[in-house]
Formats: sequence, structure tokens, C-alpha cells
Amino acid sequence: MKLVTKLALFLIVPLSFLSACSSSFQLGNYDDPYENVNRKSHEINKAIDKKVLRPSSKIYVRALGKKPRSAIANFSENWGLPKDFVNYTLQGDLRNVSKTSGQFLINSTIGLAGIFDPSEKFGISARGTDFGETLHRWGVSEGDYVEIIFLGPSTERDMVGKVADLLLNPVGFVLNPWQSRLVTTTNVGNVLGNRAALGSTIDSVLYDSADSYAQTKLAYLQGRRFRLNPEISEIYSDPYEEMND
Amino acid sequence: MTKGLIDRRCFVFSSTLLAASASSTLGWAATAKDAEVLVEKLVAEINAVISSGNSESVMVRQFEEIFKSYADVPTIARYALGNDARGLSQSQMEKFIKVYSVYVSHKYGRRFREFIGGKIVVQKSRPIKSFFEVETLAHLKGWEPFTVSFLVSNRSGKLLFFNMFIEGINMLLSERTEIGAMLDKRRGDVEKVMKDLQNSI
Repeated sequence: MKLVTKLALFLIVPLSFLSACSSSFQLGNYDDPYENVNRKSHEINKAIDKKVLRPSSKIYVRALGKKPRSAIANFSENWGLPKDFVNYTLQGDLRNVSKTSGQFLINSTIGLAGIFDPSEKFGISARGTDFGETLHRWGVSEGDYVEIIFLGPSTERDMVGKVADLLLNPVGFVLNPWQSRLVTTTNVGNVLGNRAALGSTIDSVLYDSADSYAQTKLAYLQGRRFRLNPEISEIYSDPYEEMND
Repeated sequence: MTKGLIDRRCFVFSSTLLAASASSTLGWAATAKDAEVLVEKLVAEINAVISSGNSESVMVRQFEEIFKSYADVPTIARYALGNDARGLSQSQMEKFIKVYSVYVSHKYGRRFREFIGGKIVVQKSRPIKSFFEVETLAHLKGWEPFTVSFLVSNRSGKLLFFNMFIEGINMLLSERTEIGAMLDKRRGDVEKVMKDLQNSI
């Protein structure tokens, strides 16, 4: 597929879909019209985590030392930067456009294709972004909560964002198949490393809570809303007032 | 300014007495700065445990103690029960608060473990409604720094935090969801929930 066709596809198809999404971005709103389907996907995701992701992440950590793991994580994250660059450009966020490109240039050269992260020492590290955030900046509402098999918790808007990011990543157009495979492999490694690093937190949500679906949904929606809108904090409820009612 | 400070101290002193004697909802006039000082102390204690080099199990116990002494655990317990609190007898409520205290400080004490190898730095504070928000930034190796906010109030008679937000994730809300789900699974049987909470530690 040509670049232009791809661009047209990801712009037109999702946007027409999203305009159909009804619910708007609302703090403190956890409505869940797809709950039945979502719960089924959640059970499948939990099984995938239990049988594959969690055990592999443990093997991954045991098999590789800290240094190779951090090299893999750096490399994987470096080759995700062009995607961030495109998104920040689409968001019109010039400060992060320059930060992201600076980070990518430094790490790809001095950092040996991204194995090291010297940009951090220069204080140049942009916060990550994605097409879901770009849509948010364009005023697209979050839509309803969805949990997707393999991909995990999301919203209608962010799900479209994830697909768009796959099509949009300029790295895919530039690298040869061998290089692409290398990036994909390190991405898998990075996922395993992150799963291991967040081990106890994820375990407590998935395996120690009375309703892991509800906890996952709460954590995802609150975390995501906070990330996209840190200045508009959660509506704080006052337990002292509530209990005096 | 000095006079204002003395006045405030007097007021703090007298209203503490008042709160103690009347055990009313009347709080003294705490400021955002007081809340910030409290969180500074909390953070310093967490950081001290982190850098102590103790074994992880010892650290978790220390974190538990820190949680207990800085959090308004009875209020957290009542909030976690939500509307179900109304159906409880006085003695059940007292028992629940006791059981829940152990459970919740254990749970979040363990959470503080995630900060091992990192540090937390207080950023700023501001008043909201009748309480204060104190924002901190947690720096962990290999991760982007993330925000941990504490909501602090003196409505219990003592300046304590009653809610914590890790990257926007509301502890009270998670706890109410958790206890609600436990009650649902046990057909609203609080006694059974208490028993299982005790066993989960």
C-alpha cells in the first residue's frame, strides 16, 4: 500500500467511526455498555497473561541480565520515537516535536542505534504519545470502554489510535524486513521486561482483587484520563462530607 | 506576621483541645503548608526505609507502620464500605475498621515497595474544598517520573492523608470497588468479608 493510501485510510475510516461514538470525555464516568463482551475478553486476556505473558516475563528476566534488558528496552523505545514524532507533529506540539527528534537523533547516533539512552543525560527525553492522544487533542471524545483480546484495556478512541499507530509508524517504511523484525523482537522483549518490572502491581490487580475486570477498567480509565489531562484532576470526593450525610 | 503565627499556634492548640473534648467535626485551621509538611515527613520516612538497605520483608513491615501512622484508616474503611456501612451495627463497624486497617496497611505498605531504588519528591500543595492536595513526583529508574498525590485533612482530629492518587488512580475508589465486589460475591455478608480479609494477609 502506498503511504498516501495508508494515510487516507487511517484518517477517514476511524474518524467516521468515531463520530458515531456517543459518550463524551467525562471525569468520574465509568459507564460500560459493552461490559458483557468486555468481561469475556478480560477472562481470555487473564488466561493469556497467566499461561504465557507472566511466565515468559519471569524467564526473560532470569535469562537476561539487567544490562542486556535495558539495552533491549532502550532500542525498542528508540524505534518507537518516530511514531511519537509524527503524533506530536499532528498535535501541533512543537516543543515535543523537537524534543522527540533530538532524542531520536542523539540515541540513534551516539547511543548506537538506540542501545543506549544518552539523551536522558542531556535532559532531552520527551514523554511518549500515541494517536489516541492525537485524536483527543483534535477533540475526539473517548467513546466507551473496551477490553480487547491481546491488546488489553482501551477505549473506542484509543483502540482506533492503536491501529492508526501501526499504520502510521514511519519506521515501517524505512527499515528493511530484517531490521523490522529486529525492532519487533525487541518490542516483545520490552513488553516482557515491563510485565516483570510491574509484576506485583499487575498481579495484585489481576489475581488478588475480588473483581479484576472492574479494577482493570478503573485503573485504565483514570490513568489514561490523567495522562491526557493532568491539569483537570479527578473530581475529588470528600469522604468526610459524604459520611455526614 | 510573627503575631499571626502565634495567634495561629494558639488557635491550633485551643482547637485541638476542643476537638479532643467534643470529638466534633470542627477542625482547626490547617494550611496547605501544614499538609505539605506532613507529606514531606511521610516521604522522608519512606525514603529512609528505601535507603536503609534492609531486607524486603522488613521494609514491607516498616512501610505498613508508616501507612498506619500517616493515613486516616477509619475514614478509608468507612468509605470503602460505602452505602453498605449503613446496615452495620456499631460493634460490626468497629470490628470492620480494625480488620480493614490491618488489611489496607499491608496492601499499600507493599505498594510502597515499588519505590525501592527510587525516590519521591514533594512538588506543591493547594487547598481544595475542606482539604489539601499535596503533589509529589516519584522517580524510578527506567521509568518516566510519575505523579503521586496525597489528599490531606484534619477532619479526623489529626492531620492525616485520606486518599492517594498514583498517576490519577484513586485509592479510595479502588478500595470501594474492591470491598463492594467482595460483598457482592458473599451476598452482602460483612462477617464473611471480614473473615476473608483477615485470611488474605
